[in-house]
Amino acid sequence: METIGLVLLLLALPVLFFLVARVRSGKAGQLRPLPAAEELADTVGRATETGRPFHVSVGVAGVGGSATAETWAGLSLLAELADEAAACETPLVVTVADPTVLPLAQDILRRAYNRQGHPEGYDATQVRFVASEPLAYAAGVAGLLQREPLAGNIMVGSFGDEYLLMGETGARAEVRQLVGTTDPRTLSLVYATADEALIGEEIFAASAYTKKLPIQIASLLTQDAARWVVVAAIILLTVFKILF
Amino acid sequence: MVVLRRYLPTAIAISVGLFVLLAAFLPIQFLDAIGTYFINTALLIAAIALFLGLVNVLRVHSRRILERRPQWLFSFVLMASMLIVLAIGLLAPAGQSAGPARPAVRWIFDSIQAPIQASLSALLVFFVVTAALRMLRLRNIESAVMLLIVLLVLAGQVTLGLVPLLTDVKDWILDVPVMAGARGILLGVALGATLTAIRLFLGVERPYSD
Repeated sequence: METIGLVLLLLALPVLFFLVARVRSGKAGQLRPLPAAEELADTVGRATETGRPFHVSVGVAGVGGSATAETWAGLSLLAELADEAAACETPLVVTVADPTVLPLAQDILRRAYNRQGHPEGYDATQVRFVASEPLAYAAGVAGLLQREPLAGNIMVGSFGDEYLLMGETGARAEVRQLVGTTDPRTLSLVYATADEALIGEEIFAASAYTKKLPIQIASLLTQDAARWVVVAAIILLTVFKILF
Repeated sequence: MVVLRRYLPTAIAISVGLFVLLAAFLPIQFLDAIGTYFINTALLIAAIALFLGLVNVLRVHSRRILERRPQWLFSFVLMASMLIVLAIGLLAPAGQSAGPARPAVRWIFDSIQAPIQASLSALLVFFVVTAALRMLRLRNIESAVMLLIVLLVLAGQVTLGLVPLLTDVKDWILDVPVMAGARGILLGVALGATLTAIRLFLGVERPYSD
């Protein structure tokens, strides 16, 4: 089984490189529209105009566990948002629930302020470790959403049922919210409370929509191609099972 | 120096990631030993990160208290609670071992933290109701479909089997379209995570370095 996994992973590489070449030559297709990705830039813009901070959460999981990919998607998005916030001198508040994410998030912010030419704008306490228990973290973030006059709330990462404490508080406080997660159960709660949602795999694509590097676009096209292969396999196997 | 700062973290990350990945896929003892070593090192770093988290809480909340920001009293209560629990856990009387297994620390967790968390979980019920009410306001075709499905599932759930057709409809909705949607999302997530891993291995996405 492990060998099959490795073979599938290695098969994805030539497809990816082929699509990178096609994207560079302008022959690849366009990315499908992702309204939530446009909301990201709007949130930073709104925060800049109003002078109010915006909040970013990368989920309740850490780096090294089973939800590392989701946390990493949140951190990649944070890197993009931190760059824009640093360039526009927009206040940004980041909360983390896992201590392994704390130094990563602080480093992302520090480097963003350095890149934009004003390292003095970086403040280590912009990144706050709230609590490692998901419910306690949610209660802490709910307090922040209620207390501070935020221009937006962006939450991308791994969330469970505790999300509702934060999402509903944000909705009641009329903070514009963009939320992305992968758990289907949590997604129903996201749909009920957020203004824009990144559903499932879209959280891995969001950072590619802001940077639009050829390899990022190609990886999303590879993902789409792999999805069609899976769909075809499901249909073929179903037909095979019915017939034989 | 800039080159080192830019490429060294990427090279280390890619090399370590490759070793751990190959150790997971290939049954070679040498790779397995290296993979386990890297994973154990990561666990050690995670433990150090917990200490950094403690320092961060102290910094954030002591500043709130010193600057007398709105609701600074909550920060004071938080810091006082944290330091008291820490002191009780670390300073054990003679004959008792320090740490989370101390009876006093266990009492704090069982009698204070656990009930508070249970109360917070209970609050979720009310949050679900208000969120559902907001969601089910008839705004567009999606809301209409969702309202219809919710009513059907609710009707199938509350008839307690007295109306078999409604129970069958509810079971079909949960077993077929809902399950298909959830599995579709999970398949997409697996593909997305795989491609994200490839981007990380190729050094395209590296939030850890410039």
